[in-house]
Amino acid sequence: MSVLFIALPVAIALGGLAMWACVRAIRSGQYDDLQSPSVRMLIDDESDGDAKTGSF
Amino acid sequence: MTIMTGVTDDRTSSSAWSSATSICVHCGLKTKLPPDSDGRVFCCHGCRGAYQLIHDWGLEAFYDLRDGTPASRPVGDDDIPSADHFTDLDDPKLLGRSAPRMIRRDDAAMQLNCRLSITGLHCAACVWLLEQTPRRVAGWSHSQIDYRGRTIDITFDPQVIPLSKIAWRLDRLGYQIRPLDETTQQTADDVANRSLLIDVAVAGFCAANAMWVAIALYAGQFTGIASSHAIALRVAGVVLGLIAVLVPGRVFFRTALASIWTRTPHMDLPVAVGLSAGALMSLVSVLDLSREIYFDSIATLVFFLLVGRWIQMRQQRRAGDEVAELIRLAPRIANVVDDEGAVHRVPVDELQIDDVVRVSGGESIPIDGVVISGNSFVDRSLLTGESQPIRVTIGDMVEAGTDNTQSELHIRASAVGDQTRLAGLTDAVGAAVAARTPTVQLANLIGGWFVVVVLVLALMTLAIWWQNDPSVAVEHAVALLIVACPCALALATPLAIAVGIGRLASQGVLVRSGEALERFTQPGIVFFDKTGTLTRGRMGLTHRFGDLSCLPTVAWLEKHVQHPIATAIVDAIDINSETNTYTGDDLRQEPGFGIEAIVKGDNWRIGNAAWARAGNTQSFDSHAATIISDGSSPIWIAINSQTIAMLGVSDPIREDASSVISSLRRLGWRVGILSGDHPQTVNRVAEQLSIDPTDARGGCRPEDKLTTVKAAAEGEYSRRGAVLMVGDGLNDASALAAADVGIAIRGGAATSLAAAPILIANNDLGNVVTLIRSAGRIRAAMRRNFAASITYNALAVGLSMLGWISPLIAAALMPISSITVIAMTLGSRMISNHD
Repeated sequence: MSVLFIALPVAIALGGLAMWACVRAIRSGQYDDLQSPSVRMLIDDESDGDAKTGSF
Repeated sequence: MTIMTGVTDDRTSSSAWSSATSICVHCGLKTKLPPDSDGRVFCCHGCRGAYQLIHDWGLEAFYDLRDGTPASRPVGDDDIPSADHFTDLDDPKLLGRSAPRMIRRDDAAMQLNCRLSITGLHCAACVWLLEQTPRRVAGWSHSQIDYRGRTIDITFDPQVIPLSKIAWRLDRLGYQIRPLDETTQQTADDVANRSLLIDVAVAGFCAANAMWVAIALYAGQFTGIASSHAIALRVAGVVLGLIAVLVPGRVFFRTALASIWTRTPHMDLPVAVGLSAGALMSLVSVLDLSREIYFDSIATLVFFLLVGRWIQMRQQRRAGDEVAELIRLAPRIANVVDDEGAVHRVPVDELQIDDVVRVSGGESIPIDGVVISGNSFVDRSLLTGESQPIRVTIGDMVEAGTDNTQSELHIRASAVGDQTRLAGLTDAVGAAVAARTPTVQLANLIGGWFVVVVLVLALMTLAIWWQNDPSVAVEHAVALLIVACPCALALATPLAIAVGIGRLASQGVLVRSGEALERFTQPGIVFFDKTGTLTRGRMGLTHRFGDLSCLPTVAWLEKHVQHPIATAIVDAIDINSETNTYTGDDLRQEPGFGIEAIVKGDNWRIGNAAWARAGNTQSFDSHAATIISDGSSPIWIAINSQTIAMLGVSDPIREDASSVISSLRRLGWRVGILSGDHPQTVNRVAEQLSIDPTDARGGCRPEDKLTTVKAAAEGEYSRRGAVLMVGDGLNDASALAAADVGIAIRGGAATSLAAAPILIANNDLGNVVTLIRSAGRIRAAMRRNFAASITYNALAVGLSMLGWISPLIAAALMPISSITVIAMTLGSRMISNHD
């Protein structure tokens, strides 16, 4: 039996897995806001420890 | 609050403030004020405060992060609200959907969390600033922005900092938070967006996999392939193709069926014909290696078409979101006075008939009712289009949606909620939207013809081949149906509209319905509202006569008064340092007449003729006549019973109004005015803008505007020419909805913004011309797209009639045609600016 009969379903199943992950991500709302996440990663985290002065 | 930070900033100190106007460091507005001692320029105290706050927190990176869009301006000058201003936010009953939830953090401290709508977001830097701010404020532990939904999620410790204090801080930075409103529009949009995106994902999966399966088969055709392998690949490909057609492709069949039932042509009809022909043929011939199958083409087709739709939806939604932010109505709060005279804060929805409501100067009136105490002026411009505020006193009727401009009124409610005139107008808008005859879009019209032509050609192919070679006749006819499937044709409209909407948005024109862009077919008539559309919508200074050295003092006195005329004077005249010393303690207002005050021992009177016309007035009487004949109102200024100067105020015509109108005329449009203001005022404006007096109608009630627009749309301009309505007020809303294209101007009433498919967000009247010209270009781009894609289809149909088509050629032609359309769309210049 040719390897094709195994490789073909496996390849499509792998693709299907990626599609399922994508659909899950869409359902969970990850694609609702495409603007702010793209910049949030550019923002350096600051440690929570520094100045919580509360005054200005 | 006025702590100098001492941080020198190269960027700002090098800015060229030596010219007369310079740019505010914080909000980017032009200002005439001189720079501070450290070289920074601010247009108002609000901006200075925001800048210092940001500096003190060490968050200056905000100014580097923002992408050129200036920050929003905090509430200006001296009227920065105190923290007390926001105390309504501390009462969970008044927060509606935003009522805080109790959460317990890891460290066991009790905290509250709530989601509020926020206005003033401009770009990513705002997100950064707002998410950094909680680190600087004790008790405010976390905030998260949803930029698209324009909401902020705030977690705070109410023991340390109440929500009102947080709101106050945000306000000083130039952001306003309000409780969420009750509408569910956004969630419905989100659901639609998600399901379309899921369809795109599924179609993408099918198309990509069908394509590599097809490549294996084509390779096999050239180099030889075992028939068992070929069959395995064909089965896999056909399954993928069928999934694409049946799952994400179902939308095309749904609209195609609807189009047959309602007998309206639609572009999805030929798409559905091609898809079903391809799917059936693939299914029937999957096991017969001698027959061609087109599973990869149909899967790619579904994918491309859905991507096109998603792009259009995304652009429309972005425009829609921005409009939604403008019209988001927070639950409003009214001050109700009970029998004992105590004042309660009550949501407007809960008001009852016969409740007594207290409305201070500057607030808007929440109910229809009768004034039972107080004297004031009511600005009815949004409701009726009248440019002059109306004087009201005990016994007068006032209406919801109007603004109390001057002093406190007590009003007994005679109609609340749905029974107010305001609510009636809002209902009329809904009715006007529903009654408008839908137009068939160009693409759908073409789609209707297309399907007929393709079916006739397929029958011809069948008939001709039947006579020569019956064994391949059906195959060739079906192949024609598949390759004729108008992928590029169906992409032509959504792409052109999506790109057009995106580029118009960068000009400040928000298009919420792409369909509206197609209705600027031929030049017809443009109706303008007067107050707030052709004119500025607020009083401005037009004339100055007499001894002008008194004006700084006049402006300083008027600064203490809340009245549209006072505001006009304060805006137009600079106050010099000498006059700021006056405290304004003994200032007396006489509603309907003017003001009186003692300045350095002199008695000053500013007001109308009855109030301040005194002494030798010979020259001033003729000045007053000039002012009146120009359509303005004279303001008399007298010191110690002698008139010394005179000002003229009116609602001035916008500077660009006459150039906009002449541009429109050059483009072939007729221009008319529909105004609720006094016919005389309307005629004067028409004269100044050289508009034909027969096209300038004053004294229109909202119903009259609606009938005029409808009559034009159904009569003279029913066949040729579009009817446009440009307006800002509540009284325009139903006319905006009934016109072929309604264009709302920012700064107007929420109802009219909601009724119009297009909003000019930057309040620039010239954008009406930009919009009309650009709509022409967008339609031209669409037509070019149609021409290109029909050429491809004709080529493919020709090949298949000759029997020369194969799945490989079909698979190559379709993406090439789609990519041509995409490239042509992106390459076309869609915006044509006014001036």
